[in-house]
Amino acid sequence: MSSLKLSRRSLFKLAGAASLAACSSRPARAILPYAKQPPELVPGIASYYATALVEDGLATGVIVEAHEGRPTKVEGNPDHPSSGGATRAIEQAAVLGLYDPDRLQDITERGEPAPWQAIERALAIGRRGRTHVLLEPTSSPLVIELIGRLRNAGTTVSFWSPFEKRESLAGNAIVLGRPLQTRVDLTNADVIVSLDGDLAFDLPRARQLADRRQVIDGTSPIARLYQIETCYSTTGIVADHRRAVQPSELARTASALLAGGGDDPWLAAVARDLKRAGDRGVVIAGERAPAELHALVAQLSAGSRCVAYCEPVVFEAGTPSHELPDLEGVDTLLVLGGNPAYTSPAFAAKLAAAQTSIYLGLYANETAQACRFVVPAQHDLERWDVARGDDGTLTPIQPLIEPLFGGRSVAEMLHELLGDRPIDARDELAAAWPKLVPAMRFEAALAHGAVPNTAAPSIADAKPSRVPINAPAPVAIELALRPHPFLHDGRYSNNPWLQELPETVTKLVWDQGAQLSPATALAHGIANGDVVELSSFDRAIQVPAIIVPGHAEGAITVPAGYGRKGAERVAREPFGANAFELAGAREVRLTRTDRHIELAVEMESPLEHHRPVALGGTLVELRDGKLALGKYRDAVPTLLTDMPRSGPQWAMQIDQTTCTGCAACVMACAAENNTPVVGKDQVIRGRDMHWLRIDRYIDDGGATVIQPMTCQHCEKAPCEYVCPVEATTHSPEGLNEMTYNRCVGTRFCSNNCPYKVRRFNFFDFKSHDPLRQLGANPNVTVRDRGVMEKCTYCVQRLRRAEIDAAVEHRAITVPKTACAQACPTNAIIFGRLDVEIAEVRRRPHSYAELHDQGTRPRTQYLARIRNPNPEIIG
Amino acid sequence: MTAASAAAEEADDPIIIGNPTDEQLSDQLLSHTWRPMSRGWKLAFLITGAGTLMLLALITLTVLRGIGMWGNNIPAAWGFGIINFVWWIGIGHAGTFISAILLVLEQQQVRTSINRFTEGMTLFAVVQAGMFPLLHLGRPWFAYWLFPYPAEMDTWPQVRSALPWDAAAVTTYLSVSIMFWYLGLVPDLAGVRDRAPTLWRRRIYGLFALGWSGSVQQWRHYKIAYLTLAGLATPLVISVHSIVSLDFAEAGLPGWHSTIFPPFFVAGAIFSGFAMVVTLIIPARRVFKLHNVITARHLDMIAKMLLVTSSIIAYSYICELFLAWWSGNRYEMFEQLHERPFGFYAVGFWIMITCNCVITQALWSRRVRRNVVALFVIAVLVNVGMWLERFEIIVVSLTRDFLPSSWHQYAPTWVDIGILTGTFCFFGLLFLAFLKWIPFVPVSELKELKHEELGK
Amino acid sequence: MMKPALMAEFATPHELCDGARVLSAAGVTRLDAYTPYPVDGLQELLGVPRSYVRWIVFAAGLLGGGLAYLLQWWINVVDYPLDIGGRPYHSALAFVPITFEMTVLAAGLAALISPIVLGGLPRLWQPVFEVDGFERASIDRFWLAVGVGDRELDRSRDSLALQNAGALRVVWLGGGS
Repeated sequence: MSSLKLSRRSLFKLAGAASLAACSSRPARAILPYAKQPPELVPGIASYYATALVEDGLATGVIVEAHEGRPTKVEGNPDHPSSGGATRAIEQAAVLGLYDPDRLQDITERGEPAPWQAIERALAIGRRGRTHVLLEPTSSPLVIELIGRLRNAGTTVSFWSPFEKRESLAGNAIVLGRPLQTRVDLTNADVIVSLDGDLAFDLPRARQLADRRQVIDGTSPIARLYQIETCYSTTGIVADHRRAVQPSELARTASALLAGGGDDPWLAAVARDLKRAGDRGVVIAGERAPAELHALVAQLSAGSRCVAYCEPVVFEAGTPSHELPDLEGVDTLLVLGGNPAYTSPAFAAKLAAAQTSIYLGLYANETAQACRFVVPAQHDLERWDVARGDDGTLTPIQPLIEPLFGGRSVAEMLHELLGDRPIDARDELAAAWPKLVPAMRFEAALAHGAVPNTAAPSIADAKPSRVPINAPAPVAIELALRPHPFLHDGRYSNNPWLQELPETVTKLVWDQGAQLSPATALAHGIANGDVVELSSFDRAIQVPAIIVPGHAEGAITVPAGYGRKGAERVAREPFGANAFELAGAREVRLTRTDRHIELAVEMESPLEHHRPVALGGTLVELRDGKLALGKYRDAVPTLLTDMPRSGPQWAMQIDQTTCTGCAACVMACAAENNTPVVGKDQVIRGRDMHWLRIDRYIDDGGATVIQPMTCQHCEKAPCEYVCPVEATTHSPEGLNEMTYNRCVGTRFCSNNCPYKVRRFNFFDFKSHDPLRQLGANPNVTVRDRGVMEKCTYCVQRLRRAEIDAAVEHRAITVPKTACAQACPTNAIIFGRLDVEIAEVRRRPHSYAELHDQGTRPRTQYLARIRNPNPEIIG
Repeated sequence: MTAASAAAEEADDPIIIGNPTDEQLSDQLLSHTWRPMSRGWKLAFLITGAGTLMLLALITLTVLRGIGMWGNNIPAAWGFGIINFVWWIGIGHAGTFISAILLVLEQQQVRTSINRFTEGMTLFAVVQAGMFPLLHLGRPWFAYWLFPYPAEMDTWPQVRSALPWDAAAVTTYLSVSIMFWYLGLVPDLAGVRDRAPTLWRRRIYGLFALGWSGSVQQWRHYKIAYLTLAGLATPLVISVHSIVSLDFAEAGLPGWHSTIFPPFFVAGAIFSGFAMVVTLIIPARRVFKLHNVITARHLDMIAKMLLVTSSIIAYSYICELFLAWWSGNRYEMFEQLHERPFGFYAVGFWIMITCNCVITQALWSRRVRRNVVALFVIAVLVNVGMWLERFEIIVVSLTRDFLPSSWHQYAPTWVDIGILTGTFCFFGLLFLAFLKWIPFVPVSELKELKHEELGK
Repeated sequence: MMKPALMAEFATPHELCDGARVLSAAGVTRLDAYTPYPVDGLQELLGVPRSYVRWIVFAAGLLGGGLAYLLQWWINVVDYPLDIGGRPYHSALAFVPITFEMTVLAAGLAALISPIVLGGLPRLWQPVFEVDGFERASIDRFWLAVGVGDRELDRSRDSLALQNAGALRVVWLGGGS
């Protein structure tokens, strides 16, 4: 009976959310009748609000597009230093996380719906007894103040997130004496040695690196990047030189570099290169590397102008309060956010011991299932708060929409625990604002999305001291546990967009893939998709293996975020195991089991087959004119005459040198253009729907190269002349246009597309969930079954810009396509053929893909230019 | 039999065995329309009927759920649907070839007796073929958009695409085949009308006979019109498979973009069609005891035709390989010289070569040509080989085109296989119905031929 | 369609031809014959002119093809010109296949319909069907008929002549002298 009640309640809530979204879900404070229409809100015209998305206490400033009160698209905030106008794929997918039907919708006590009063009572008891609050790492001054008050009242507080900045702070503590935060600035870097660093997903660093690697004609120098890592990362793809080593080898490599390279000629050359660069050389390390490595790296970068130190931005980061608590004698436990029962299996056992446990979260995940009371939390797009960016910049967070399921914020829970009178979140923030930032008015800060000049100051006297570090010894098979680039620690695992986003190097979707090198796989008799058992003492997990050429020998990389056992339907779908079961283990035993699963890998052949695809060369070759890309650019003989053209001539240029393969563009495209999710089976069948994909090849030298591939908008488009019903035609502006309503679905256009960038709705792939539908972009048609679709150059944005220009009688403001806007490195340049694109297209390394097909693509490429160290061959 | 007599027999092998009177011929060849059918026929009718119902169910499923029920994907956006289409329409070609081209070339001796039969085969094969372009659409209910009609939005078909050409060609082919078939039938329908024992049969056949009386006034126009229609069908049959081949040759894909495609496809079509004629005629001849009108000489001539077309096909295969190498085009060379013979689907390629070019060499032997069982087995294998040829052309080219990043394997689903099986059954059902209710040997023409033979 | 006055049944086409020859020698002109299959030379014997069906077919083919090309040109050049893959609006070569097919279709329709209409069909009942034994005209009997109103027709003379020529039966249907 109770389950029936629950489902009926949910149904009503969903129906309400769907039908009344436009009015009932707007923030209560801002709601106004349309009779007195607010000037910023015109039906049919999108409005944009600055806010921030927070991960592990650090804010990324974003601008959110809203249509009639419902957020539909996240863009980076150019005024926010953590974003610079760009986003990662994770931010792009946030809208789908907001409209997730699996989100917690009711307060429950042991699975049964409960009133808020039950929470109030529990917290009132907690106020008197021994209470512990476990939070996600935070940088919010509001929450920090509340934590101070709680501690004064005798409540203990700790913070937990598995992949927060922990190792770097600990490493810095070794050489600097205290856990300071490393601040890397590559603006002036000439030589960068990255030890397992992940620059592609670090937006400011990715942009700085790209700016240092702009190739015009090969005459001006560009920064050189060395990547020494275990698993093939997107940074490794960008790097000029890459070396794959066991995780423990990293520290030995760093030690060797410190000693001038030792007897390894490769390392010696790197060390000489670093030395030549002087203070413009820098060594960085990835966050998942151990503290010892960070201590070594700090020493290596000691004289570099690219590295500075500041106090940690996250509250109490690097201190013991960022470890999981013991819970000994705790009566009431509040878990406010996170999913510690999943990210720390050891903690899960302790969790059950607490008398009363209250969980505030977005999902009925493992932790929610282990706690007595569960309270739905607010999504970042539903709440008022303030947080700091990675560099300390103060960032106000404002809601785009009233909490869809009446969620509560962390501050609300803490206030309740403290026994405060209920207070409106906006009022609280507005009241606290003058104390926080005397220099900027609250409303101005909200509009801006970031408060300038609030970055944490660098500590001038922080000089790393020489401390001898003992590097660990090599082992047979070493485990590298890493956050999934898109699912992170599993918190985004219920987001189908992210599940179906191919990881750039493996092109794997939906399932977990334990990565290992071909030689290691061969030695253990493992093939792609074989389920392997990884064990360390009494702990063991079974995960499917995926073979990655270029992965380090004797190591296995296991991404987190799989093996989810909560009630989230999407997160439970992939095949995999909880990698945190093996957290802390270094050496693992690798055995093949008899099971085999079919992995959904979006690209079957990794080889280039000696074809002129994803072209590249070295800087010196380019400078000396030896690259000879003319034959991939010059006019091809043709009988066809030019067709009449009018209006702005749109074109795109994609820079393969600066593209990191972070896949933000792919996700941005999906979010902007309502491309559907098809599921693992369909991906295996070859029916993925991404309009933009990142092609990955292993070139003749064994290196992985990438090339974003989408509709090339050919001037002599092969797809158009084979369509029997004029469903795909050419616009006078040079767009290859698709008229969905006219398409009968012969698929001839796809057959004749040499780039195979067209996507077909083999089934009714679009979402029928009323909640999911709220996130759709109303300016883009949702495609029906049996219809072909593909990249449109975001024609809806072009038309908007043209209309705006026409209404205001001015020249057109060139819009950015969704992919170009999201790109952290500005590798995608969009504009008019004769204006914005003209200069880049004249560069000597500009070329057209499959040029010999005579398609005359409007989208062209800048070849991938490497800057290898002449001392290193190969 | 001595060698001399065998040679003599080859020269003067009779077209009609024995000397039946006109009445006997009529009774033999028309009476099946009113006599109860054998149990074998009924059983076959039931089986093919059940298969046809399955076909209907699978078509319903495809239309309800979407084309995703088939194995198609990106890059292999065409799969079983188009393979089956090309295969079935190719089979149709032999029918028209025999009945129209041989008439125009005044080869009545070979043609008569089997022409009606092959025309029926054409018709029913085209019906099977015609289903696929419709069904394979993402939105089959909009298939009429391929035809011009004055639409509100001024939308028209896009005639640079080979698909409207195809639509026009297949529609014309089906229409002209029906016309040719029906016009040829009229005198025989009159025969049934005048001979059938029951009033209802006489009325129904009489309706379709249009009141044919066989007057000179009627024969006068009829003969010319029939010959003209045959003359029209001759270039038509060549154009249809040429246009079908343009569905591929028009595209730029390696392995598709080739100027030899039209003649290559036409030869392949006639090859597979003759194989199907043999596959059908040998059992029908046995069941209906037609040895006196469909004689060993007919089979021998068809077998020779198989040998000729097989040689053309073999030449085309060599030509394709040579052109790929001669072009120097890396995609073309990879496709033809690597992927088809040694790639993922190489097994299909070698079976195709074996069936289409190697096994047919046995037909050089007169003994094989006159051996009903051997001929039947070869014909079935040729059918298989020709299906695989279309598979190789369509699937290998699509799954291995320009960018290796887009390569993806293709595999049919159970629905694909079910629909292909279903079309066999539907074809069989139509054929059984044809054998039951329609005079399947042109009696009037046979009598004319006999009369002319005697008059010599 | 001729209304017959006299009909004669023959067993073979030779006898039919003989009979026809006798009558035309006698000056009878309104002759027709009913045969299960076309008999060589009979048409000339009866003075029936050569069929003009092929000219109808030719005209229909020209019309079908011409209209098809014109429609394609009008769609692409006049009514709704679109940039399709950078190809010219008047892509003459691409218009050829449909033009050809429509030529054949129109001609084929003409070739089906004209012999039926010119042969007086469809006409499910005709007076000759009432003649006893005429149902074998579609099987193995050959009938010669003289139309009503032929001035040279002499019932008794011609009946005898036909029987001499091998007629199995001569039937007088009346309506003449």
